Amino acid sequence: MKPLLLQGHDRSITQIKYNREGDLLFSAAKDKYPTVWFSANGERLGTYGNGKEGGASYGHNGVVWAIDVTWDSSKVITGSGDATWRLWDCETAKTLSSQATLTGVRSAAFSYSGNEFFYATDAQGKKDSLLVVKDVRSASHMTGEDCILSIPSLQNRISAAAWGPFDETIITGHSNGDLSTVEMRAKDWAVTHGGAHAGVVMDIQKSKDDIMFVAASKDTTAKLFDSVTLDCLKTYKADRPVNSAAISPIKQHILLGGGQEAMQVTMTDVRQGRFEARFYHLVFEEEFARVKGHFGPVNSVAMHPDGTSFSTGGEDGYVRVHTFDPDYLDFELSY
Amino acid sequence: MDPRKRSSASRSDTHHHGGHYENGADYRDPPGYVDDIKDDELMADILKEEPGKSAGMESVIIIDGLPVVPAEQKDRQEKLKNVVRKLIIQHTKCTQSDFLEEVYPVEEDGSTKGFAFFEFTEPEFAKLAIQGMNGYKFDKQHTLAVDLFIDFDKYASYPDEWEEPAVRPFKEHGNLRYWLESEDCYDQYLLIYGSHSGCEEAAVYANTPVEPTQLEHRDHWTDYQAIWSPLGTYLATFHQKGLALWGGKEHKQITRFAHQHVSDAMFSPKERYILTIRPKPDFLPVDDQSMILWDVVTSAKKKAFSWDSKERPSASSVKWSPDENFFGLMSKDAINIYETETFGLQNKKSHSIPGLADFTWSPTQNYLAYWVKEITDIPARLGLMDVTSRTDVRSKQLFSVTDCQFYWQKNGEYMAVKVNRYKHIKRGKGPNAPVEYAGLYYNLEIFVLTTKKEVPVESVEIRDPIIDIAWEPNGNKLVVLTVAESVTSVSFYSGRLDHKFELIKKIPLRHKVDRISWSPMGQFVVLHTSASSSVGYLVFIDTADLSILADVEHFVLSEVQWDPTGRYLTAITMGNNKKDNGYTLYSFQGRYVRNEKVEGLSMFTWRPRPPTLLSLEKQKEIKKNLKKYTPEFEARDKMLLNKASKEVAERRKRQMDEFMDFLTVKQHAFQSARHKRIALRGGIDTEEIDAHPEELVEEKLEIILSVTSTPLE
Repeated sequence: MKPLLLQGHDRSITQIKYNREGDLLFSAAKDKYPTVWFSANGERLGTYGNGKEGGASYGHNGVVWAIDVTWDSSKVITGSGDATWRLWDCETAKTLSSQATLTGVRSAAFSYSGNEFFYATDAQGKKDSLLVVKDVRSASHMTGEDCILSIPSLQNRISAAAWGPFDETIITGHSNGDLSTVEMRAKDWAVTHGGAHAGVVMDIQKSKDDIMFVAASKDTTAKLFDSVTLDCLKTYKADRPVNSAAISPIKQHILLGGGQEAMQVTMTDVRQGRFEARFYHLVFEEEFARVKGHFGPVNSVAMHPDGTSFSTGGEDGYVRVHTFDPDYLDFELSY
Repeated sequence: MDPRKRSSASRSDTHHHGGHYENGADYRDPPGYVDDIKDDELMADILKEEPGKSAGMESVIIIDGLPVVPAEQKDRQEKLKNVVRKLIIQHTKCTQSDFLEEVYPVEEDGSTKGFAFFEFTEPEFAKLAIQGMNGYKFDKQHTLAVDLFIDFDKYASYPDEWEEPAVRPFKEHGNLRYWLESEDCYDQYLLIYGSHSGCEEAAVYANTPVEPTQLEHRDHWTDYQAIWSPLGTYLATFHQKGLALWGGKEHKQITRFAHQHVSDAMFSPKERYILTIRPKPDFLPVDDQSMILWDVVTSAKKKAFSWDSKERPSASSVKWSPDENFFGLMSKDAINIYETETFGLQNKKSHSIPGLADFTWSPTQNYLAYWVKEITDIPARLGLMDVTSRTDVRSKQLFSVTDCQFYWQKNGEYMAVKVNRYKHIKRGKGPNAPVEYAGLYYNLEIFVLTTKKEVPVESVEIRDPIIDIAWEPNGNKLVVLTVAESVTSVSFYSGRLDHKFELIKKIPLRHKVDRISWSPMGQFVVLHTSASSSVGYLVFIDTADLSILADVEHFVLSEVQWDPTGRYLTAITMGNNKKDNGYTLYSFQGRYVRNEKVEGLSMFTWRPRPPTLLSLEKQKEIKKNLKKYTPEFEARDKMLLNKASKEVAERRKRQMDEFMDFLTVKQHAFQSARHKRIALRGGIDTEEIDAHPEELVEEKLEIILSVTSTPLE
C-alpha cells in the first residue's frame, strides 16, 4: 500500500510514538512543535505549543528530543533541549505543568500506570546526566523540586531509557554502550551490563509483554535483551548506525531504522546511506525485507500496536506511515 | 598511578633486571640470580651492526696500471695525482671532500709503484669509480685496472681446490597440486582484508555451493598483497624483507626471496622463475638490486638488474617468452633479449631496432611484436619477429601514427594492433615544442598467424574512438567498444576463412561501459564499468547469437574477475570507506548467485588452474555427449543444495526451540502477574479491552461550531 507522508515538521524528526490504541501518532522533531496525527489517514490534529495562551506564545523553545503519551491518552510528556520538560493535556494541548532542568532533556516516558514519568538529562560541563522520576498526581512534584527519585548516571550520559516490567525498574542505555537498570524500590542502580553495545545506545523499545527489549546503537547493531537480567539474547547486524528499533507485537519481527550519519550524508549516495526501514527475524537474526523512502537517516521507528502498520521518522523531516501488504501477514521464514 | 611513570618504570625494569616497583608485581630477580642470556641472543639485530675490522674497507679502491714516475720528477708525480683525482671526480661525480685518503706507495728510491689507494666517504663512490674507470685507457701504454680493496682479500682467500657443494637435504612439500584433486572441482580464491590498514588478514576459500568454505585463515599472512603463480601452484606474499612462497594443502612456507622493500613481483609463465622489484631507495644514486630474478625451484638468485630511471620499475617491463626460454627488456633503440639457459644476452648482444616504441611476446610462440615510432619522413612500422632466428616474419609500414597497442588472442592465432592515427599535425617552432595532432581516428591491423606460410595482415578502419578491445580467448571473435556522441556501442568482428575480418553486429548499449571481460572458455563476454564510475553496470552477452543475457546494476563495482572455469563472474566491491566491501557471484548468464560481505576487503583473486590435460578430441567428445553427463551432475548439485538448505533449516529449528524455551518461562511469569498490571492502571484491564477492539462502541459527537439563524419570510 502507498505510504502516508506526514509533512508538518520543518526539521529532523527525533521520536515518534503511537498511543495504546494506535489511532494517534505523536511526533517530536528538532523544531519546537511536537505534533499529533491521525494514524489512519495522516491528518494532523494539532501541535503542542505554537499557539497563544494568555497573549504570549508558549511551548518549547528548542529541539524536542522525547515524547510520550499515557495509556489512556490523557496526558503527553515532552522533553526538550531548551532544558525543560512539559506535561500537556493530550486533547486540548494545554500545558499542565512545566519545569526547567539543569541541562537538556534527552528522554522522557510515562510509566505503565501513567501516574509517574521519568526524564533523563544530558551531561554538560560538570553537570551530571540525571535520571528523575516524578509523580503527576503530586502538586509538589509538578511545581517544586520534589520527586520520587533523582539519581546521577554512574559515568556516562543516559542516551536512551524505558520503564522496566511493572514499573519496578527503569532501563537506561548510555553513551558508551552500557545498559543499566535502576531499582525503583531501592532508588539505586541495580544491574549493569557493561559494553552491551560498542557505541552510543540510541533507542530502547520494549516488547508488548515487557519480557525483552531491543536497543539500537551507533555501533551498527541492534540487540535484544532480557528486561530483567539485561542478558543479550540476539544481535541484528546492519552495517550502518542504528538509530531506532522496534519489536512487532504480533510477529517475530524486528524493525530497524538508521543509516549513515547525517553529517556524512551529503557525501554518500542515497543507496549507499542505507536509509531504509529494515526488517529482521527476531530469532534467526536474518534480514528479510527493506522498505525505502527516506532520503536521510531514519531517526525513529514505531510499530502500530495491532502490528499491521508501522511508521518511520527521518532526518529529512518526514514521518512515513506504512501499512503492511496482506502477504506480509502470511510471510514466514521456513524452518 | 601516573601512566607515564609506570611505563618508564617498567622499561628500566626489563633492562636492568631489578628496578624497584612501587606497587603491583615484583619483577626483581632473586638474590644470586645469574643472567644466562647472552648478548647476541638478546640483541642480535644490534650486534650485527657492531663495527668490525673490515668496516669502511668497502670504500677503498686500488687503481693499478698507473705510470711509474721516478722520484726526481716531483712535479710530474704531483701532476699524475691531479690527473687521477680529476678522473675520479669525473666518473663518480664526488667532490674533493669525499676523498678521505689517497696513498701512492713509493719504492725505496722514491719512485711511484704504478698503483694507488683511494678511500671515499661512501662505498657507492668506490663502486662508481670501478664501473667507470676499470679498463680505462690512461694513455697509449697504460690501461687502468680498478678494484675494490676487499676483493683482493676475498679472492686471495678462495680455496684453490674446488669443493663439491654440500647436497641440500630434500624438503618434502607434499602435493603442491592437491587442490586439483578436489572431487567436485571447487575453485579456490584468496581474500585479503582488514578493517585497519597494517593489520591485514588473508584467507583462502573454496567456492562451494550455498556457502563458501574457509580453508585457511591467517592474520598478517602478508604485509600488503599476495599473488598466485600463473598455474596456481604457489602463493607469494609480500613482506618488508622480501617475498615468501607458500603451497601445498597446509599452505606451508616453501621458500623465501630476500629483497628489502619489495613492491612488485611477477612469475614467469610456467612459474619456474620469479622477478621481484623494489623502487629505488632514495639514498642510492643507482640501485643495482632493483629487479632480481630468482629460480623458484632452487631459490637461487639468477640475475639482478639496476634501475636508474626516475619512474618506478614495474614487473611488466620484463617480458617473458611463453616457453620461459627468453625474456626481453626494452632499452633505448633496442630489445635486450636474455636466455634463461645462461641468463646472458641471446647471441651476446641486444637486438637493435632504432626508434623502438614498444614490444610484446606472442602468448604461444617465440614471436615478438613491436612497433617503431614515426620520425619526420620515415613512417611508423609494425613488426613481427621470430626470436630464434631474429628475423622479421612480417612487417608493415604505416603513416600518420601517434600510438599503437597490441592485443593478442590467447592462443596466439591472431594479434590486433590498435593504431591511433591523425589527419593533420601542427608542429611548434623549436626542437622541444609540443606537437599537436588533429583529426584523430583509429584503425585495427589484424595479424593472422593461423596460416603456415605467410602472415596476412587485415586492416579494419573504425571511425569512433575505441575504448577497449578483446579477443575471444579461443576463437576468432573480436569485441570492440566504441563511443560516439556519448553512446557506447559494442561491435563484434569475426574472421572468415579467407582471413578477412568483417563486422557481424554493432549493438548500442543503454549505459556507458568501458571494459571487456571474456569468459576464459570463450563464447560469453561481459562488458562492465571501471572502478571510476559512480554506478557500476554489468552487461552479459552470449556471442553465439549475440544476445544480451542480462544487464545488471552493481552499485559500487571496483573489479570484475571470471573464475578459472568460466562458470562464475565475481564483481568485487572495494570502496574507500571500507564499508560494504565484498564480492558478488553471478553465473555466466548474469544470474545473481550470492553476495558475501567482507569488511575492509582489499584483494580478491581466483587461484588459477593449469591448462587442461585432456586432448582436443577428448574435449570434443565430452562436449558432444554433454547431455549424457548433465543428469548425473544435476542430481549431485541438487543433493548438495538439499543438504545445505537442510543445514540452514536445522539451525533455524534449533534457534527457534532455544528461544521458545526462554520465552515460555517468561510468558508464564508475565501472565501470572496480570493482577499487578490491572492494579497499576487503577483496575482497568486494558489487555481485555485491547483484545476485543470490535466490542468498542463508536461514539458520535456533534459539536456545534457556530450557529447562524436565517429568519424565514
